[in-house]
Amino acid sequence: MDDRELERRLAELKETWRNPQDPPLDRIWQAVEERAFPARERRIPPRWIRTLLPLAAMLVLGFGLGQISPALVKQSSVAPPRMAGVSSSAGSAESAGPALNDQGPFVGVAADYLERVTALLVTLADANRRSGPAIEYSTAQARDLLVTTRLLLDSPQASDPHLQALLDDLELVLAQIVRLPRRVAAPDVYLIDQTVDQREVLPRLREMLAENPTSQP
Amino acid sequence: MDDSELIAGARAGDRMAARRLYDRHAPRVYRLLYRSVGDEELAREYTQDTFVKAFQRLEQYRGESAFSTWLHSVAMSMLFTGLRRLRRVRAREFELESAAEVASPEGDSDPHLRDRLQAELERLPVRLRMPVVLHDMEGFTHREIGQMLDIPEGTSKARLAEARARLREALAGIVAE
Repeated sequence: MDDRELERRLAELKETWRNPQDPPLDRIWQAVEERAFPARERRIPPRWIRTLLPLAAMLVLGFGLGQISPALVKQSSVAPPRMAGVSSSAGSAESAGPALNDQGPFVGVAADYLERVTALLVTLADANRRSGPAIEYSTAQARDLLVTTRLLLDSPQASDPHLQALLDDLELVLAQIVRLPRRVAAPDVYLIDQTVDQREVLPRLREMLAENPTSQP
Repeated sequence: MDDSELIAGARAGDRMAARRLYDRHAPRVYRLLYRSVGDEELAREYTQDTFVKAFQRLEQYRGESAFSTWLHSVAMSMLFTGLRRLRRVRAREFELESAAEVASPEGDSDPHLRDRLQAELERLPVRLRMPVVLHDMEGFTHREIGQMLDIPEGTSKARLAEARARLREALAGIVAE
Protein backbone atom coordinates (compact mmCIF):
# COMPACT_ATOMS: atom_id res chain seq x y z
CA MET A 1 0.00 0.00 0.00
CA ASP A 2 1.49 3.33 -1.00
CA ASP A 3 0.93 6.71 0.62
CA ARG A 4 -1.72 7.74 -1.87
CA GLU A 5 -3.69 4.58 -1.30
CA LEU A 6 -3.44 5.05 2.45
CA GLU A 7 -4.67 8.64 2.12
CA ARG A 8 -7.62 7.41 0.10
CA ARG A 9 -8.43 4.79 2.72
CA LEU A 10 -8.13 7.34 5.51
CA ALA A 11 -10.43 9.71 3.62
CA GLU A 12 -12.98 6.90 3.39
CA LEU A 13 -12.55 6.10 7.05
CA LYS A 14 -13.14 9.74 7.90
CA GLU A 15 -16.76 9.33 6.80
CA THR A 16 -17.43 6.51 9.21
CA TRP A 17 -14.80 6.42 11.95
CA ARG A 18 -15.93 7.87 15.25
CA ASN A 19 -18.48 10.10 13.65
CA PRO A 20 -20.39 11.47 16.61
CA GLN A 21 -24.10 12.06 16.66
CA ASP A 22 -25.17 15.67 16.98
CA PRO A 23 -23.56 16.98 20.12
CA PRO A 24 -25.84 18.29 22.87
CA LEU A 25 -24.76 21.85 22.21
CA ASP A 26 -27.35 23.51 24.44
CA ARG A 27 -26.49 21.32 27.38
CA ILE A 28 -22.78 21.93 26.98
CA TRP A 29 -23.36 25.67 26.59
CA GLN A 30 -25.38 25.79 29.77
CA ALA A 31 -22.46 24.32 31.70
CA VAL A 32 -19.98 26.59 29.92
CA GLU A 33 -22.04 29.67 30.72
CA GLU A 34 -22.39 28.70 34.37
CA ARG A 35 -18.70 28.07 34.76
CA ALA A 36 -17.14 30.71 32.52
CA PHE A 37 -19.28 33.77 32.81
CA PRO A 38 -20.34 34.02 36.41
CA ALA A 39 -16.81 32.99 37.34
CA ARG A 40 -15.44 35.65 35.05
CA GLU A 41 -17.64 38.35 36.49
CA ARG A 42 -16.98 37.28 40.03
CA ARG A 43 -13.42 36.33 39.66
CA ILE A 44 -11.36 39.46 39.51
CA PRO A 45 -13.21 42.55 40.68
CA PRO A 46 -14.80 41.16 43.83
CA ARG A 47 -11.56 39.50 44.82
CA TRP A 48 -9.72 42.71 44.20
CA ILE A 49 -12.27 44.58 46.16
CA ARG A 50 -12.12 42.02 48.93
CA THR A 51 -8.35 42.17 48.88
CA LEU A 52 -7.58 45.79 48.32
CA LEU A 53 -10.31 47.64 50.11
CA PRO A 54 -9.59 45.97 53.44
CA LEU A 55 -5.93 46.66 52.78
CA ALA A 56 -6.71 50.27 52.05
CA ALA A 57 -8.78 50.42 55.21
CA MET A 58 -5.94 48.82 57.10
CA LEU A 59 -3.55 51.43 55.78
CA VAL A 60 -5.85 54.26 56.67
CA LEU A 61 -5.86 52.86 60.17
CA GLY A 62 -2.10 52.48 59.98
CA PHE A 63 -1.90 56.07 58.91
CA GLY A 64 -4.00 57.03 61.89
CA LEU A 65 -1.66 55.09 64.16
CA GLY A 66 1.32 56.86 62.66
CA GLN A 67 -0.32 60.22 63.21
CA ILE A 68 -1.09 59.60 66.84
CA SER A 69 2.12 57.81 67.73
CA PRO A 70 3.55 60.95 69.46
CA ALA A 71 0.42 61.05 71.56
CA LEU A 72 0.96 57.41 72.48
CA VAL A 73 4.45 58.24 73.63
CA LYS A 74 3.06 60.98 75.84
CA GLN A 75 0.49 58.59 77.29
CA SER A 76 3.02 55.90 78.08
CA SER A 77 2.58 56.21 81.84
CA VAL A 78 -1.14 55.34 81.60
CA ALA A 79 -1.08 53.16 78.52
CA PRO A 80 -1.95 49.43 78.63
CA PRO A 81 1.02 47.03 78.84
CA ARG A 82 1.21 46.51 75.09
CA MET A 83 1.36 50.19 74.32
CA ALA A 84 3.79 50.71 77.16
CA GLY A 85 6.04 48.47 75.10
CA VAL A 86 5.48 50.68 72.09
CA SER A 87 6.28 53.83 73.95
CA SER A 88 9.29 52.25 75.59
CA SER A 89 10.75 51.83 72.16
CA ALA A 90 10.72 55.56 71.84
CA GLY A 91 12.49 56.00 75.15
CA SER A 92 11.81 56.23 78.84
CA ALA A 93 9.33 58.60 80.43
CA GLU A 94 12.15 61.06 81.06
CA SER A 95 13.25 60.97 77.44
CA ALA A 96 9.75 61.12 75.98
CA GLY A 97 10.12 64.76 75.01
CA PRO A 98 13.33 64.45 73.02
CA ALA A 99 12.13 61.18 71.51
CA LEU A 100 8.97 62.90 70.34
CA ASN A 101 11.01 65.67 68.80
CA ASP A 102 13.21 63.10 67.10
CA GLN A 103 10.19 61.22 65.80
CA GLY A 104 8.50 64.31 64.35
CA PRO A 105 10.07 64.21 60.87
CA PHE A 106 9.85 60.43 60.81
CA VAL A 107 6.13 60.49 61.57
CA GLY A 108 5.68 63.01 58.76
CA VAL A 109 7.52 60.82 56.28
CA ALA A 110 5.70 57.71 57.47
CA ALA A 111 2.33 59.46 57.28
CA ASP A 112 3.05 60.63 53.74
CA TYR A 113 4.15 57.13 52.83
CA LEU A 114 1.02 55.54 54.26
CA GLU A 115 -1.15 58.06 52.44
CA ARG A 116 0.53 57.17 49.17
CA VAL A 117 0.17 53.44 49.79
CA THR A 118 -3.52 53.94 50.54
CA ALA A 119 -3.96 56.01 47.40
CA LEU A 120 -2.18 53.35 45.37
CA LEU A 121 -4.39 50.55 46.62
CA VAL A 122 -7.55 52.53 46.05
CA THR A 123 -6.35 53.42 42.54
CA LEU A 124 -5.62 49.78 41.83
CA ALA A 125 -9.00 48.67 43.04
CA ASP A 126 -10.72 51.35 40.97
CA ALA A 127 -8.63 50.67 37.87
CA ASN A 128 -9.35 46.99 38.09
CA ARG A 129 -13.06 47.61 38.09
CA ARG A 130 -12.82 49.46 34.80
CA SER A 131 -9.80 48.32 32.77
CA GLY A 132 -6.17 47.34 32.95
CA PRO A 133 -3.99 50.31 31.87
CA ALA A 134 -3.65 51.78 35.35
CA ILE A 135 -2.04 48.56 36.53
CA GLU A 136 1.23 49.44 34.87
CA TYR A 137 1.17 52.91 36.39
CA SER A 138 0.32 51.50 39.80
CA THR A 139 3.06 48.93 39.53
CA ALA A 140 5.59 51.70 39.02
CA GLN A 141 4.19 53.49 42.06
CA ALA A 142 4.33 50.29 44.08
CA ARG A 143 7.97 49.90 43.12
CA ASP A 144 8.66 53.40 44.40
CA LEU A 145 6.76 52.74 47.60
CA LEU A 146 8.59 49.47 48.08
CA VAL A 147 11.87 51.38 48.13
CA THR A 148 10.41 53.78 50.72
CA THR A 149 9.17 50.84 52.80
CA ARG A 150 12.64 49.37 52.89
CA LEU A 151 14.16 52.72 53.84
CA LEU A 152 11.63 53.08 56.65
CA LEU A 153 12.34 49.54 57.79
CA ASP A 154 16.05 50.36 57.99
CA SER A 155 15.38 53.56 59.88
CA PRO A 156 16.34 53.37 63.56
CA GLN A 157 13.24 55.45 64.31
CA ALA A 158 10.96 52.72 63.07
CA SER A 159 11.95 50.57 66.02
CA ASP A 160 8.40 50.10 67.27
CA PRO A 161 7.79 46.36 66.86
CA HIS A 162 4.21 46.84 65.70
CA LEU A 163 5.20 49.41 63.11
CA GLN A 164 8.06 47.15 62.04
CA ALA A 165 5.65 44.26 61.62
CA LEU A 166 3.22 46.43 59.64
CA LEU A 167 6.04 47.64 57.39
CA ASP A 168 7.24 44.06 56.93
CA ASP A 169 3.82 43.02 55.76
CA LEU A 170 3.41 46.05 53.54
CA GLU A 171 6.78 45.29 52.01
CA LEU A 172 5.50 41.85 51.11
CA VAL A 173 2.19 43.11 49.70
CA LEU A 174 3.91 45.84 47.69
CA ALA A 175 6.45 43.35 46.37
CA GLN A 176 3.59 41.19 45.19
CA ILE A 177 1.90 44.16 43.52
CA VAL A 178 5.18 45.03 41.78
CA ARG A 179 5.27 41.53 40.36
CA LEU A 180 1.69 41.67 39.10
CA PRO A 181 1.46 41.19 35.36
CA ARG A 182 -0.31 43.80 33.26
CA ARG A 183 -3.22 41.46 32.86
CA VAL A 184 -4.06 40.56 36.38
CA ALA A 185 -5.15 36.96 36.83
CA ALA A 186 -6.94 35.43 39.75
CA PRO A 187 -3.94 33.42 41.01
CA ASP A 188 -1.89 36.61 41.36
CA VAL A 189 -4.56 38.28 43.41
CA TYR A 190 -5.06 35.08 45.34
CA LEU A 191 -1.43 35.18 46.44
CA ILE A 192 -1.84 38.70 47.79
CA ASP A 193 -5.06 37.67 49.42
CA GLN A 194 -3.31 34.71 50.99
CA THR A 195 -0.48 36.87 52.28
CA VAL A 196 -2.91 39.21 53.98
CA ASP A 197 -4.77 36.25 55.46
CA GLN A 198 -1.75 34.25 56.55
CA ARG A 199 -0.10 37.19 58.23
CA GLU A 200 -3.34 38.10 59.96
CA VAL A 201 -2.71 41.73 59.17
CA LEU A 202 -6.25 42.88 59.76
CA PRO A 203 -6.82 41.05 63.07
CA ARG A 204 -3.54 42.44 64.37
CA LEU A 205 -4.57 45.95 63.49
CA ARG A 206 -8.00 45.49 65.00
CA GLU A 207 -6.36 44.18 68.16
CA MET A 208 -4.12 47.22 68.36
CA LEU A 209 -7.05 49.51 67.85
CA ALA A 210 -9.18 47.73 70.39
CA GLU A 211 -6.47 48.13 72.95
CA ASN A 212 -6.03 51.79 72.04
CA PRO A 213 -9.36 53.40 71.34
CA THR A 214 -7.71 56.79 71.06
CA SER A 215 -5.93 55.58 67.97
CA GLN A 216 -9.12 55.40 65.93
CA PRO A 217 -8.62 57.67 62.91
CA MET B 1 -20.61 39.02 11.88
CA ASP B 2 -17.10 37.58 11.77
CA ASP B 3 -15.13 35.95 14.56
CA SER B 4 -13.23 39.10 15.50
CA GLU B 5 -16.46 41.02 16.14
CA LEU B 6 -17.86 38.18 18.18
CA ILE B 7 -14.60 37.91 20.13
CA ALA B 8 -14.72 41.64 20.89
CA GLY B 9 -18.30 41.25 22.07
CA ALA B 10 -17.49 38.22 24.22
CA ARG B 11 -14.54 40.05 25.76
CA ALA B 12 -16.87 42.89 26.67
CA GLY B 13 -19.12 40.40 28.44
CA ASP B 14 -21.74 40.03 25.70
CA ARG B 15 -23.06 36.52 26.25
CA MET B 16 -24.95 36.47 22.97
CA ALA B 17 -21.70 37.08 21.11
CA ALA B 18 -20.05 34.36 23.17
CA ARG B 19 -22.90 31.99 22.39
CA ARG B 20 -22.64 32.68 18.66
CA LEU B 21 -18.92 32.07 18.81
CA TYR B 22 -19.61 28.82 20.62
CA ASP B 23 -22.29 27.75 18.12
CA ARG B 24 -19.93 28.42 15.27
CA HIS B 25 -17.01 26.38 16.62
CA ALA B 26 -18.36 23.87 19.10
CA PRO B 27 -19.47 21.18 16.62
CA ARG B 28 -16.02 20.87 15.10
CA VAL B 29 -14.27 20.99 18.47
CA TYR B 30 -16.64 18.32 19.78
CA ARG B 31 -16.11 16.11 16.74
CA LEU B 32 -12.35 16.36 17.03
CA LEU B 33 -12.47 15.55 20.73
CA TYR B 34 -14.86 12.69 20.15
CA ARG B 35 -12.57 11.29 17.48
CA SER B 36 -9.65 11.67 19.83
CA VAL B 37 -11.21 9.85 22.78
CA GLY B 38 -14.02 7.80 21.22
CA ASP B 39 -16.31 8.47 24.15
CA GLU B 40 -19.27 10.85 24.10
CA GLU B 41 -19.17 11.70 27.77
CA LEU B 42 -15.48 12.53 27.70
CA ALA B 43 -15.92 14.49 24.48
CA ARG B 44 -18.68 16.55 26.13
CA GLU B 45 -16.57 17.12 29.22
CA TYR B 46 -13.51 18.20 27.24
CA THR B 47 -15.59 20.41 24.95
CA GLN B 48 -17.05 22.10 28.00
CA ASP B 49 -13.59 22.53 29.54
CA THR B 50 -12.28 23.89 26.25
CA PHE B 51 -14.88 26.65 25.99
CA VAL B 52 -14.72 27.55 29.66
CA LYS B 53 -10.95 27.92 29.40
CA ALA B 54 -11.19 29.72 26.06
CA PHE B 55 -13.65 32.32 27.37
CA GLN B 56 -11.63 32.80 30.52
CA ARG B 57 -8.48 33.32 28.47
CA LEU B 58 -10.04 35.18 25.58
CA GLU B 59 -7.95 38.25 26.32
CA GLN B 60 -4.83 36.21 25.64
CA TYR B 61 -5.94 35.59 22.07
CA ARG B 62 -4.08 38.17 20.01
CA GLY B 63 -5.23 37.22 16.56
CA GLU B 64 -1.84 35.90 15.49
CA SER B 65 -3.51 32.73 14.24
CA ALA B 66 -7.07 31.98 13.20
CA PHE B 67 -9.44 31.83 16.15
CA SER B 68 -10.33 28.25 15.31
CA THR B 69 -6.64 27.28 15.45
CA TRP B 70 -6.25 28.96 18.82
CA LEU B 71 -9.44 27.34 20.08
CA HIS B 72 -8.31 23.91 18.90
CA SER B 73 -5.00 24.41 20.67
CA VAL B 74 -7.00 25.00 23.86
CA ALA B 75 -8.98 21.85 23.04
CA MET B 76 -5.78 19.85 22.58
CA SER B 77 -4.49 21.15 25.89
CA MET B 78 -7.72 20.09 27.59
CA LEU B 79 -7.56 16.73 25.84
CA PHE B 80 -4.02 15.95 26.92
CA THR B 81 -4.64 17.17 30.46
CA GLY B 82 -7.80 15.07 30.58
CA LEU B 83 -6.10 12.01 29.18
CA ARG B 84 -3.25 12.29 31.65
CA ARG B 85 -5.76 12.52 34.48
CA LEU B 86 -7.74 9.64 33.07
CA ARG B 87 -4.62 7.57 32.65
CA ARG B 88 -3.70 8.08 36.28
CA VAL B 89 -7.18 7.15 37.42
CA ARG B 90 -7.43 4.18 35.16
CA ALA B 91 -3.79 3.20 35.28
CA ARG B 92 -4.52 -0.40 36.02
CA GLU B 93 -7.27 -0.80 33.44
CA PHE B 94 -5.08 0.95 30.91
CA GLU B 95 -2.27 -1.50 31.56
CA LEU B 96 -4.64 -4.41 31.20
CA GLU B 97 -6.02 -3.01 27.94
CA SER B 98 -2.54 -2.49 26.59
CA ALA B 99 -1.58 -5.98 27.56
CA ALA B 100 -4.66 -7.33 25.85
CA GLU B 101 -3.84 -5.38 22.73
CA VAL B 102 -0.31 -6.71 22.66
CA ALA B 103 -1.55 -10.22 23.22
CA SER B 104 -4.20 -10.03 20.55
CA PRO B 105 -3.37 -12.04 17.48
CA GLU B 106 -1.90 -10.08 14.61
CA GLY B 107 -2.52 -10.80 10.96
CA ASP B 108 -5.62 -11.53 9.00
CA SER B 109 -8.15 -12.19 11.76
CA ASP B 110 -9.98 -9.07 10.59
CA PRO B 111 -10.75 -9.45 6.90
CA HIS B 112 -12.03 -5.92 6.36
CA LEU B 113 -9.40 -3.40 5.48
CA ARG B 114 -11.44 -0.51 6.80
CA ASP B 115 -11.96 -2.17 10.15
CA ARG B 116 -8.33 -3.07 10.33
CA LEU B 117 -7.25 0.45 9.43
CA GLN B 118 -9.55 1.77 12.13
CA ALA B 119 -8.12 -0.65 14.66
CA GLU B 120 -4.55 0.23 13.74
CA LEU B 121 -5.33 3.92 13.90
CA GLU B 122 -6.75 3.54 17.38
CA ARG B 123 -3.74 1.53 18.38
CA LEU B 124 -1.34 4.32 17.43
CA PRO B 125 0.02 6.32 20.35
CA VAL B 126 -1.75 9.66 20.78
CA ARG B 127 1.28 11.67 19.63
CA LEU B 128 1.12 9.86 16.27
CA ARG B 129 -2.62 9.49 16.03
CA MET B 130 -3.36 13.19 16.50
CA PRO B 131 -1.51 14.36 13.37
CA VAL B 132 -3.44 11.76 11.33
CA VAL B 133 -6.76 12.86 12.81
CA LEU B 134 -5.99 16.56 12.52
CA HIS B 135 -4.40 16.46 9.07
CA ASP B 136 -6.01 13.60 7.19
CA MET B 137 -9.45 13.74 8.75
CA GLU B 138 -9.97 17.29 9.96
CA GLY B 139 -8.01 18.96 7.19
CA PHE B 140 -5.74 21.16 9.29
CA THR B 141 -2.38 22.19 7.85
CA HIS B 142 0.88 21.21 9.51
CA ARG B 143 1.37 24.80 10.52
CA GLU B 144 -1.97 24.81 12.30
CA ILE B 145 -1.28 21.44 13.87
CA GLY B 146 2.07 22.74 15.10
CA GLN B 147 0.31 25.66 16.76
CA MET B 148 -2.35 23.43 18.27
CA LEU B 149 0.02 20.83 19.64
CA ASP B 150 2.75 23.33 20.44
CA ILE B 151 5.28 21.53 18.27
CA PRO B 152 7.29 22.71 15.25
CA GLU B 153 5.64 22.32 11.87
CA GLY B 154 8.40 19.87 10.88
CA THR B 155 7.64 17.68 13.87
CA SER B 156 4.01 17.50 12.80
CA LYS B 157 5.09 16.37 9.34
CA ALA B 158 7.53 13.83 10.79
CA ARG B 159 4.91 12.39 13.12
CA LEU B 160 2.38 12.09 10.34
CA ALA B 161 4.95 10.33 8.17
CA GLU B 162 5.78 7.95 11.00
CA ALA B 163 2.11 7.26 11.68
CA ARG B 164 1.42 6.56 8.03
CA ALA B 165 4.45 4.29 7.81
CA ARG B 166 3.18 2.29 10.76
CA LEU B 167 -0.30 2.06 9.26
CA ARG B 168 1.07 0.98 5.89
CA GLU B 169 3.23 -1.63 7.54
CA ALA B 170 0.35 -2.93 9.61
CA LEU B 171 -1.92 -3.14 6.58
CA ALA B 172 0.67 -4.56 4.18
CA GLY B 173 -0.29 -8.16 4.91
CA ILE B 174 -3.96 -7.60 4.23
CA VAL B 175 -3.43 -5.72 1.00
CA ALA B 176 -1.07 -8.42 -0.20
CA GLU B 177 -3.85 -10.93 0.24
